[in-house]
Amino acid sequence: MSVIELTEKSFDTAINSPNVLVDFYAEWCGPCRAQAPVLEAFAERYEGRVKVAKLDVDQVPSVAQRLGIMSVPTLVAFREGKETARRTGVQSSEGLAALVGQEPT
Amino acid sequence: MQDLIIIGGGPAGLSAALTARNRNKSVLVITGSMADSGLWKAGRITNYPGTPDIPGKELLEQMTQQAKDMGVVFLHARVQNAMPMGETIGVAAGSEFEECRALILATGIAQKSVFPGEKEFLGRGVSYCATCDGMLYRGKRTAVIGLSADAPEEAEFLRSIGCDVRYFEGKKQKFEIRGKQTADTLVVDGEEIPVDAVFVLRSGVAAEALLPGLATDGGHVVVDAAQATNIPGVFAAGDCTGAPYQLPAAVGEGNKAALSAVKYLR
Repeated sequence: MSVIELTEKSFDTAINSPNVLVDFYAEWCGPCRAQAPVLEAFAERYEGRVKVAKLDVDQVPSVAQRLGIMSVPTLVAFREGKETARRTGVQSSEGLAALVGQEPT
Repeated sequence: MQDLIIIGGGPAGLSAALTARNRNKSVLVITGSMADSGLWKAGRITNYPGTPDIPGKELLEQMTQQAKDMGVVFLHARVQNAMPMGETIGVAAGSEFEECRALILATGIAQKSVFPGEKEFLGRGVSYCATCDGMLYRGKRTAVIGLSADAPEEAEFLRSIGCDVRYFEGKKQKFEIRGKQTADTLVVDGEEIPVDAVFVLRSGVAAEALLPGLATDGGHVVVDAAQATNIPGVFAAGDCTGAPYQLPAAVGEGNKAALSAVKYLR
């Protein structure tokens, strides 16, 4: 299982895990397209340790608004439903690891 | 995929571009408006060999044309960040993402001052890039603080996609950004304006903000004698590396940075 696409319904359940990373993206955003393969590779490398998901801010505006996502891509780390860190702009694999508090492998 | 991306279209960046093209490398220069370059604003140049007493503006136009004639590709966009991705380096600029094998930073003198609340709400209602984030604010109230030559154009872009835009000439007024979870108020000379987003459009972003982990000293990019930074494949030239802030120095450093980049590409 690689990157999970989140919906309004699945979002709250999905982030209620020990270590979650969500990529808030949009179809029209070039940097988001660049983020996607980095995120896929990250998800595979950290499988079992980090749950990796993405959310299309145009398809699910309610969640994006609730989280105050005002720039894409925005990467947000969650622990048991609570936000622990966020960064805006494309992130490298090392950047993603730092965000979720994992040692880069 | 480019061999070389150069961030900055001033004399250091253009000099580097010419040298790299001479060595048959593909070159993309990502830059804002020419009018934001220090050289454009420099008045008359009297210390550049071969061009006695030339207006800086004219010299910059000539250099830019020369680079275009030599096959340098230009992208007019605001760079958000750059990131090493193993073999290549990715650069997010406007709504584009470009990749290269070597990168030269020629971003000029960084503007140090930020507005109160700006850093706090960056990505939470404060944005540096209208073309990147504008779509998220269609039908919403936005304020543009214009500090770069092309800021009015970006404000027009926001209007064209359906944002409600209030434009402020950045240098003339005092600004503060306030909010709770996200920015909700722009204070202009004491007047509180309710907003959903504030676009702060400067001519450049500090090089250290573009590339996490880049070694800097007093706001200047640290380089060795070959213009190499601490990040493999990333070089820097011109005013962003510190004094002297002089045209001939910038051109020389651009040349050296390109030669080092070409060597790295081999």
